[in-house]
Amino acid sequence: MSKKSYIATSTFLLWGVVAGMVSPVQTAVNSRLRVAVDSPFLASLISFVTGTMLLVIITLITDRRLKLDLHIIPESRWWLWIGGPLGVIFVTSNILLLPLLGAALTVTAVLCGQMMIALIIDHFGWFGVTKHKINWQRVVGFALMITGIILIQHF
Amino acid sequence: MILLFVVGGLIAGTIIPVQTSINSKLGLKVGSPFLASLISFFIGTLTLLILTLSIDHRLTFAEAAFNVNPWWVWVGGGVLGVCYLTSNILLLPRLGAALTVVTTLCGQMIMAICIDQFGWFGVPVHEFNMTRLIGVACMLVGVVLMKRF
Repeated sequence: MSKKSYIATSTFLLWGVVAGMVSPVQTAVNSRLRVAVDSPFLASLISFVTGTMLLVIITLITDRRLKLDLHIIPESRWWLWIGGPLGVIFVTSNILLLPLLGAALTVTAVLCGQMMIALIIDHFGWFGVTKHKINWQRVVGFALMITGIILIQHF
Repeated sequence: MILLFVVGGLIAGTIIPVQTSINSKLGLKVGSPFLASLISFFIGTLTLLILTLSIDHRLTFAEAAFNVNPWWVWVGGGVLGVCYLTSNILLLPRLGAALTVVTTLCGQMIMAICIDQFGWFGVPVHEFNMTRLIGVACMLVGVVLMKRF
């Protein structure tokens, strides 16, 4: 690997770590919001509305447009538009599972699911992702991640 | 019964990488990762509007809630959600699905340990211990393995 691409990949890896750090903070904030408005759904809605407004501002600044070529809607696959509802399902399932399974088990199960599907997406190159076949090193890496998560979550 | 919920958790987890992949693809289609995030959030908002109306039959809450809660309770979740979603969309084509997931997981665990250690956001303090350190080491080795091979 050239030095330049090494630096680029390291930057992206670090960025991923920082982006991940945001997630538990978001959960803590949203849990508080849920108590404040006395509804998990209303709390999610407020969170999504705030996010939408922020993205309108960011998109206007970076792209200087909000226009979407409407003709791409009929010619696109239907699943291109379901990212938002998937996010809603994810947030709501977490809220509903937490009291049933407890925090540690919920997190462990959700993260295992996340890694399993990610390995599969890479292996088959779904959704236009570059193909990256499963090998034993990746499986060992996967097992180590799960061991780590269990150790952190349950002790 | 517990097993059923665990399976539910596993399935919920599969949603995130699928969502990221879909949003990445949407970003290519509309020519901007930010516009793709916006579309995703907008459709999510509409979905939640319908859900909230049909389950809670209300969109209002006690006005007093504004006075007793700090400002970040109202904007924090949305702002952080945008950072997370948009970063994922930008990273996926560069790192692949597995590496994007494992690096964000490391960040997640590091932050969760910090929150527990210092009792931020009113969470009960749970001090760092040897087992947790081994857990972090396992995760880091896992990331290196996935990255190298």
